[in-house]
Amino acid sequence: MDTLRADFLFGLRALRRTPAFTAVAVLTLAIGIGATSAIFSIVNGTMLYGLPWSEPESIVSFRLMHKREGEARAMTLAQYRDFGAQAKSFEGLLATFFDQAYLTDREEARMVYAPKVTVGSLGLMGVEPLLGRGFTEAEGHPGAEPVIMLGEGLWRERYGADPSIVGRALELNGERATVVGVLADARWFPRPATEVLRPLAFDAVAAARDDDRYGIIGRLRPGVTMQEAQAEMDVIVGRLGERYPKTDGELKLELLASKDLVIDDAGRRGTLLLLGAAGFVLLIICGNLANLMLARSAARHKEMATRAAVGASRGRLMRLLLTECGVIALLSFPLSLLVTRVFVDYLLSLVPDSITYMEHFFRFDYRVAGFAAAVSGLTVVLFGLSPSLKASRIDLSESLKEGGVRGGTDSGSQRLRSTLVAGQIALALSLLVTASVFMQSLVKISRSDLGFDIQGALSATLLLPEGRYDGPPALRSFHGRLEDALSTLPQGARAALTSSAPLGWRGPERSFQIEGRRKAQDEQPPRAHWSGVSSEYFKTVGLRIVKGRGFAASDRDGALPVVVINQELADAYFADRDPIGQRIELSDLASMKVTGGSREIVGVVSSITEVRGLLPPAARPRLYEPLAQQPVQRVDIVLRSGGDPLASVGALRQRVKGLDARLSLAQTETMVTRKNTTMWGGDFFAKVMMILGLLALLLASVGIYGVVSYSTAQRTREFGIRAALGAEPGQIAALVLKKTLRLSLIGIGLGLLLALLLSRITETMLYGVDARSPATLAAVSAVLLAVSLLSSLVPVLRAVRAQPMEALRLE
Amino acid sequence: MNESKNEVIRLEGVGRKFRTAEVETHALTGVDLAITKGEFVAIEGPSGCGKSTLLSILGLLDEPSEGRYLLADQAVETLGASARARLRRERIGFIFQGFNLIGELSVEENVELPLSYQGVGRAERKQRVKEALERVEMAHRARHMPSQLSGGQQQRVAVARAVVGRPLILLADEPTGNLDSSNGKHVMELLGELHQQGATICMVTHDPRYGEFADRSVHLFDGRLREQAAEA
Repeated sequence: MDTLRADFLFGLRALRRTPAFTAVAVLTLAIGIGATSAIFSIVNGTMLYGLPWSEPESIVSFRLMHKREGEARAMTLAQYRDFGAQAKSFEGLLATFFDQAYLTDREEARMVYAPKVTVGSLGLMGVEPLLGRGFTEAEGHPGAEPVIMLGEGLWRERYGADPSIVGRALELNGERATVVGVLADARWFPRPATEVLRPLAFDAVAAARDDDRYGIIGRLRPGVTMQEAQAEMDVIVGRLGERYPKTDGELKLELLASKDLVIDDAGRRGTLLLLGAAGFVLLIICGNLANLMLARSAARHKEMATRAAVGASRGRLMRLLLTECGVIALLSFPLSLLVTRVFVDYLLSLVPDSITYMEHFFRFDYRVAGFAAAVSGLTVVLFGLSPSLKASRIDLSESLKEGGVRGGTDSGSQRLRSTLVAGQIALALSLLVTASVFMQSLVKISRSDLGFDIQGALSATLLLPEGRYDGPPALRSFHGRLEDALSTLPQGARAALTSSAPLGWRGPERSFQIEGRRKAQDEQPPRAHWSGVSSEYFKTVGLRIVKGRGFAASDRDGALPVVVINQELADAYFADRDPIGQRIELSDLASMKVTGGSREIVGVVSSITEVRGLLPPAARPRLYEPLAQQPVQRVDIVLRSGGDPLASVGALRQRVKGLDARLSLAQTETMVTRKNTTMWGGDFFAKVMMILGLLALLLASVGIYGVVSYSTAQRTREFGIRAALGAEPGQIAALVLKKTLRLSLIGIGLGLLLALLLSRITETMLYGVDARSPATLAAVSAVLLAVSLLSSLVPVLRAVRAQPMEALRLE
Repeated sequence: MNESKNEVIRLEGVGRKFRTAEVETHALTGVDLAITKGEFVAIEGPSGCGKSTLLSILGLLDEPSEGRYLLADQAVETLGASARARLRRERIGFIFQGFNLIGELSVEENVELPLSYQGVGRAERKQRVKEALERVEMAHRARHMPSQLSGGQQQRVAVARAVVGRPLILLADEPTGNLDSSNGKHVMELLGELHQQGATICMVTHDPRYGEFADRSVHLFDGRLREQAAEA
């Protein structure tokens, strides 16, 4: 222990003697550890933290899949009821419905994230309220007095953390609801960033089999394994499929561990890829530090030889040098936590303002600190071991001679340095190739034709409270008046209404039957997303009428019920016939109080292409109905103007207030913002990957500079001799560049191999880009080569300017 | 000005000043010197007298601060770096005190270096390297690395490298400085043989014993030419 302490103190003293070296080493290491830890904070928040409910390992999430279409389906309350009644593997189940609501207790309405959960859920998941209580059994019945729980964030921000909030009534969606408790943000119930929690009140007996918009989570009974529960659920789902073939016939259920509730496969893959990329950056930094340590060891070779001469063993010398590396890591650790914090804040700044819950996924806690500490320890081995091994190998007879061979300048050390730099180039290249293919993919997605012009357009949401706008006539009347008011917007702005504006919530799905078309017994009907729209909608958004017509004022209540379908739906179901004039039977849409029935297709409009993160852009089948025939409580106003659409928001608000002073607009945002929001995940991933790639490039170029510079300094005498013998400056420069070129080409070769290996992971995550594109590989290689040669510029100039007189060692 | 076709080197009023932040040092002042073809001149003087500076100027490794320098009747004191490099490889052969062989190159590669810079073809290079090494009796060590040779052997290789380019003049800077007396004597005898075969040699030495190998000695003291001795 005494020798360790002595080594530590000596290391500290030695580092104090070389403050520039120490500062560079500590700072670069802190940056590397900080960057890695910042990405790890996402892993922590999304994969390790898990659900902050009691015994999260026994919590499972239900995922219903359509066997044929391979798509996940939301579940129905009928399924929730049946699963609960038949499954023995679970202590209990909860159903959730992820919804938004308007807090209308102030002048400006605020759209809040307000999921609903079945009563008893908090107890089942072991989540205690921060304040007040959870929901009672009685509050889960239809017609019960409305109650809510507030999320901690909203409670603090909007109500100043006032404990007397419990018992107060707030206006939600225009109705008064009593606050019964406050939910701690840290509990993520039922998901992170819940602002208002509402009880899911329903009549279990009357639960519809086609109202699929719910999620189900269960808690396994003690001793029951996931596989046992899965086997039981397979039987139950099969049984329900036989009994209700139209709704449950082609479904299968997958049970997922609770951590899968936080992040999906794509997100997990992307996050781990980013962590790997940050790890590459850290490795490059360790390479640079190892090179610095080698140079430092060379300068201290005589000291090491003297220590060995007076009896220090090789192990003892290694320990001394490793302790010095340990001191560097130790000094960089607190700084790395600071850097982590800065990186996390920077990463959060890349998230659009409209995504409010991301800070929950960047969890900077003891785990991150522990990770940073562990990585710090690992780096000691990564950057300290090779130089220590090298420096402790001493030929005493040579080393102690005056002018004897200096450690670290021999060919072995040169080889080690060159290997490290070639490795750094390889890592940087593979990272840059990966980053650039993702960036290309993002640009392709971003530039894909959405089917309408997002410039000059915005949307705002308006909720008509049920208390004052109860039933279709009241809604229809208000929609009509609103359309009239919107037709008078100044500066040529025009607006239309829809139940779900583009580039946001897709809207509910409805199943439909094509009348007159034969179908197999028990075949599930096709489904499509549904939107109720006003007659000006297609024109305002900019959708093209491909066939037939759009909606007109004549498509009112009492007239022939009509639908317009999009091109995608026409291609999928009417490829063999003209859809115009065909009739379809639409299902009810209980969640929006929209009734089904027979409709005539009167038109086909161009499709809107959806973009989501880095997923391939795709259009989905969609049905449109006139709002005049199917009015809804919540409408989005889509506005288009010749200039900045936000300039028209004042007039828009005025028109709404002119109709009902108590109504407020919410979620007013341009289509550009909405597109950015839908793409943010991919945008974030590609940007962070590119930042790490560029950081790797910068660090690798520093490494190249260091090695070439050091080797040039070692060869000063040789260059002097060559100059004395008549070598031209260009011939001297060529000698330096040859070394750089050799190192770079080896590094690039290895990097290309690594990039090809990585492409096996990334190829499924790209859109319209070949992960092994020769053009990308060549371009990135060229950039690396150019940067390598550029990094050698200063050493080249130094070599060319080497005075031949130095070789003569005059006077 | 007495220019002669036999003069390989002519210095007229050559001076060399070195400036540091505050101090100006005169390493050489008003040096006049002429070396004719086939002559063996020794520049003698105590340490720090400026003899190596003089040799550097003669070898176009340094530029005079003042005065004229004619190398084979060509004024060279104002030439650019590239032209000086060309003259060095075509007209001058160097022998250094510390041998200055390149450790990463073999004996024959070291000797070949000046020919490579002259652009001599490969076959001719090999032939001339062989001849030069035979001349210094080191042909049997052609494939060896410098670190495998003794000091005396290294200096003989350095001599071979100096003569292989068939220079107009050989400049030797304390060629025996790093050798014991026996090896020193052998190297001096080698230079004497080269001189006998017609080589023009200018040698810097602080050891009067070796000055005796030269046709004449030039004495430098405090950067000034103090004496020009008669033939030894």
